[in-house]
Amino acid sequence: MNKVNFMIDAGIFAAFLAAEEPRLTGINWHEWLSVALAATIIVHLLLHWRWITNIVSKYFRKLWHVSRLKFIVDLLLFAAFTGVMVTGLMISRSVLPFLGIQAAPDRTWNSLHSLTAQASVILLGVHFALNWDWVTGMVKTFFRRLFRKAEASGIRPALVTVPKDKIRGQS
Amino acid sequence: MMRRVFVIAGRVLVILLAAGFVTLGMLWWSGQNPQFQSPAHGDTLSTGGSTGHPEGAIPPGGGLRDGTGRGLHGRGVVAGGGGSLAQNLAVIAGITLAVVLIRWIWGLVFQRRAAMLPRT
Repeated sequence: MNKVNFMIDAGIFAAFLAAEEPRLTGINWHEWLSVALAATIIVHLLLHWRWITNIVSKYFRKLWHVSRLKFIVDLLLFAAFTGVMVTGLMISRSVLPFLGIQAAPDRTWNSLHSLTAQASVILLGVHFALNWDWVTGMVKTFFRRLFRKAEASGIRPALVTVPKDKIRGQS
Repeated sequence: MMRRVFVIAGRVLVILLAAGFVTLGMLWWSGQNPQFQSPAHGDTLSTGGSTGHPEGAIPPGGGLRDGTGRGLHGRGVVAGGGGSLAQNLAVIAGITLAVVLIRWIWGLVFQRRAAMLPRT
């Protein structure tokens, strides 16, 4: 389960960075990628549902805890993401017209889109930092497993032993 | 199986409802009133060009523009502001480094204080 979470989170992170750079993808890809990202974020929330309900139920019991800070940051991140998505749809040139809807042009949506996008970057940074221990733990576990598998199959990735006569033969 | 599907559907509904409330809050805060028009009667939607720009090209030095000449996606990351991919990565890395450092120092201070306190 942790592995699935890690893979989804890594995908969300990469997609978020790509979606935050419309010049890299083009506007059409930017919009559709963002819609896909919204769906993936819903999956991310569903996978962490138990944590969310636990925090909500225990929120007022303990005054200070890292989980409380995480929850506040996550709430703000959710609000910022929702803001980016809604304002993005309002200035959409592909997604809404594809559905047969066209929003009336308004510069304020652009400003709000910009504001919420920048807030998302900052809040994602804080979210990432607060979950740093989990990320590093997962990366360590991944490499440990990789190393064990390599050792089990007789490959030693870190230490490559070369017979002395071969070294002599090369010189 | 059906129960599980209903539970997941209910949770998705809760998430969408929360997003709806956030949207309402944002609209109230910004004073915006979303208005829609049919693409057939719209004067801003264009099918000309690969980018959808009325003249079929991205204006030099700017992003996409609508029919009125106003920039829709100007310079910058998103809608005329922010940074590039590298800048966004740098922001996230910087925040991560700062928070990890703060937590490390915080931990050091509290561990030292805890070590100095007499055991009960």
